[in-house]
Amino acid sequence: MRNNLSDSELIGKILAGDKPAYAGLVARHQRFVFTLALRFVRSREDAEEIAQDSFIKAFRFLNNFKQNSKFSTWLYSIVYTTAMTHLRKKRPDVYLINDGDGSAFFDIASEQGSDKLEHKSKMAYVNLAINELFPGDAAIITLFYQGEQSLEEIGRQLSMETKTVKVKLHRARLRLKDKLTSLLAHEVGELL
Amino acid sequence: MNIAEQKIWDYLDGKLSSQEKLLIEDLIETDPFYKTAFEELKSLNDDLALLELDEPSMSFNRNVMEKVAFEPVPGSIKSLIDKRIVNGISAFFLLTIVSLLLILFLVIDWSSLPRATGNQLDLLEFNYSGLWSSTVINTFFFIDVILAILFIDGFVRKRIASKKLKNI
Repeated sequence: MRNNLSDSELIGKILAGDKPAYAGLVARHQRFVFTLALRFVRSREDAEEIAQDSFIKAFRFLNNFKQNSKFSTWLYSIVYTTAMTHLRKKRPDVYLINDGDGSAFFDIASEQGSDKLEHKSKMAYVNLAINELFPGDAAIITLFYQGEQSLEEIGRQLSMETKTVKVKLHRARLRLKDKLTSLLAHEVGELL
Repeated sequence: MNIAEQKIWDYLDGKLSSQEKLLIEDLIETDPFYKTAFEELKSLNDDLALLELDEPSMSFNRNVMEKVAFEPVPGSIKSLIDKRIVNGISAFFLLTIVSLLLILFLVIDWSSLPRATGNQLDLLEFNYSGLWSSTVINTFFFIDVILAILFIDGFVRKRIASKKLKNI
């Protein structure tokens, strides 16, 4: 069963000529790669394009992966550079990152009910606040929390010193907290 | 950035030494400012840790694998061939051939060549039967067989690749 194989075992199979084994790697990492891509662009189509390009690039250069770090660390660095290239090509889209008014999320949040719904609305606010951050800040938060990458690993992916990543993460969380506070203040204002 | 906040984040990230950890724990218990800040940041930290990942479209994996099917196996000789080098070599040879032809045309003294008239250049009188020797025919069939084998090989490879993709 391919699902039981580790990343390095799958890579070994692919390098030995078993191309379909790559589907196992894609299935394992596609959700995070897509989520990370979504931190850079607003549309799901663009995020899918970035995620797809990243997986193709990773396949092409798989023999360059030295396996002295996690495959995910190497893959996320490819996603980061692919997303940055995409942003450079489609510059105007960058400004779209802050244009949402979050009305869809306010609709969810206004519904009172079960704990699940409360949790959902809370998560919707956090997601909305992350989407309103600069792509770099959003990416660091996503890599740290959702990608479960250490500061050292993020540093390797973004070609930064660990200390710089630490400072950037602190600043990103500070900005996120401010965004979240202003979003919630907006919601209270709407309700009054 | 607020130093107190930074210390609390370091505490939450588990980046403090045991001595610093004890110190911040004491501050959180005794100092109301630290206590409030800690509760706020811990709540945000917990929310971030619970964030769910987004799901790409159902066909995402298939789309990636369809593109991968056309890629050479990483590390194989085919994957190591840089198309730019191949294009460079072709450009070099093309340029050489064009230059040689140009030089040839410039060097030829066209006035010394016999003028071709309808009577002198009688193409119909050329003996074509000499071309159709058994060697020419055998070579012609040999090339045809090679081309057919290459075509069948390519066709079978494509079919196998598409079957494998369907089984993913």
